[in-house]
Amino acid sequence: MRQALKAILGGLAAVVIIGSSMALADPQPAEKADAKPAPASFRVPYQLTETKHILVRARINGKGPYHLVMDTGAPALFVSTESAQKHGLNAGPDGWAELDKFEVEGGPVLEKIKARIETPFQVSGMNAMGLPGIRLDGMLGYTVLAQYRIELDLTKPHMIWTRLDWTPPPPRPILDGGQAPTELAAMGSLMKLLQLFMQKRPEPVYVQRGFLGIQLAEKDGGVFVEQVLPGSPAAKAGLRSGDRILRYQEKDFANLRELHGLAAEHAAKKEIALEFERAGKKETVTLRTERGL
Amino acid sequence: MSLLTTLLLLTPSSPLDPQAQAVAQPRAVGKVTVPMEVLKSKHIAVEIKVNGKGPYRVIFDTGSPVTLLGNRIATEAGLLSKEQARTPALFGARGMGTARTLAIGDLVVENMPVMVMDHPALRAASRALGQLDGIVGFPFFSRYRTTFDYQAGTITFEPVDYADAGGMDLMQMVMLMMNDRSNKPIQKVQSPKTLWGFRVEKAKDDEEPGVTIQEVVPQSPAAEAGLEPGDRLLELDDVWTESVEDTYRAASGVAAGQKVKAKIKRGQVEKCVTIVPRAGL
Repeated sequence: MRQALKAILGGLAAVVIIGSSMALADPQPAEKADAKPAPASFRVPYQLTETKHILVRARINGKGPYHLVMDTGAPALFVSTESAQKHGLNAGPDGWAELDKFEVEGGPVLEKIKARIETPFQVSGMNAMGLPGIRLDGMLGYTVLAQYRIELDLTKPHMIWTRLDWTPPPPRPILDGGQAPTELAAMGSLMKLLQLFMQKRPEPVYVQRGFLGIQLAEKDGGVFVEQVLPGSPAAKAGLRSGDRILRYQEKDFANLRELHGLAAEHAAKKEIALEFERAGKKETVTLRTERGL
Repeated sequence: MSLLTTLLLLTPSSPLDPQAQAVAQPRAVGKVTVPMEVLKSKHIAVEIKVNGKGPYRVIFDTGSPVTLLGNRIATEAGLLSKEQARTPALFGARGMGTARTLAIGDLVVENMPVMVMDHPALRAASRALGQLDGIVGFPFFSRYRTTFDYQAGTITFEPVDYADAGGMDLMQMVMLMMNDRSNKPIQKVQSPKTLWGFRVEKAKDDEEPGVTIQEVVPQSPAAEAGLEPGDRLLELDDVWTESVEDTYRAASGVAAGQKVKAKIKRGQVEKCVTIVPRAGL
């Protein structure tokens, strides 16, 4: 079991190999009819899964979004059989589907590209165990990635994708007969086997912080109310601009960042006690949070 | 599953051979560009040195949460003793260790967590593409602003201060696997640090793109941007707002005072407006 677990962890490394039955024809050179002078640049948002995979969302033929792992270890765009079926995307007899339109969140659009309709065992394995925390629909590999210069910085919420002016050569199959080698097949089976012993992790439930309607500012070493939006919970509780917030739910904080940390903890609470100082006097009010941003 | 935890806890987490000598290398600063070899299979190969040994040809994989080294190079680099390497193991999986240094060109990362294993995909690829001895993944590239350019055949690295660069370790992974026993979903609070002044909703049976703006608070950033109740919010800061959750995720990535594009649909007309959220709650 220990051995199996170690091996399965290796299975999270999403390296996918194309068999010879999966050969792709050379792409048609891009038509230069509507040549654009400046290369288009896009801010592509991504999510980091709990398994540290970089997830990009895309729509195929207007449907989706599909959750795809940005994977330089995949030679093409892979869409899981299940997800393809759900959105009515059908593969041809060769296992490839020609997409009219492939839109990546943030703006990149490719037309007439091919997707491999197949579920790599890494995707089915991770989904079956619920490991990533988000359902995966496939992998975004070379045939899409190579068309852009891609800048990835995990301290930023977006990648930068810049369209390159070239037609990337297609991937070549490297496995004889198109059969997965026995060890690789064994790894896939092992992942399937382990799924029997592991219960699926439920997907996380997201809740949103409550709305108070106060604009805050940090000054003179404290956190002050800058503005109270009319009709907001803060207005109803009688807070005014100039009030200095001292404690949130009876907890101290050193700065605005820490106050936000406390607010995140108590997001689900409906009643929030705020201690504040006005004209030298300390007071505590209770705010009823509302839904909103 | 407690048996499993016990077994894993008993596994030496770092089979480092103390005899191995680290080779001191200068830490690269600023921007470093290294060539990438785009294989026939269209995987990316780069050359690495581990604890000063090498170079070894490995796959550079953004889809890998771990950095993985084969038994051969782990032994050469002193991560695994010869006796350990001879012990039979499924896929030669030895667990996690730490490379004192892992270098690509002039870039040297210290204390790189590595998984030692002969990955079957690498063995299959090696037969057709020449020796490939490992996978460089998240624990490496998360330390840099990494730019891939297949046309130029280069990867460029600029150091960034990413807090969670260690990536996934075996224990973390096991904890994830253990947590599912409770079968209780983890609750995650989305808590943007900014005040926008609008409320969005989406009904369960609503399958149209976007979310509906139900309320706009007077004098708020949303009101100043001209948003109105009934508008359909399609995108916020380039994020598709398909759900309330997406909307809060988009807002979480925005700092107070930052100008943000919102794409809305009012009636049949789509348009973009600029919102500047403020610090607040």
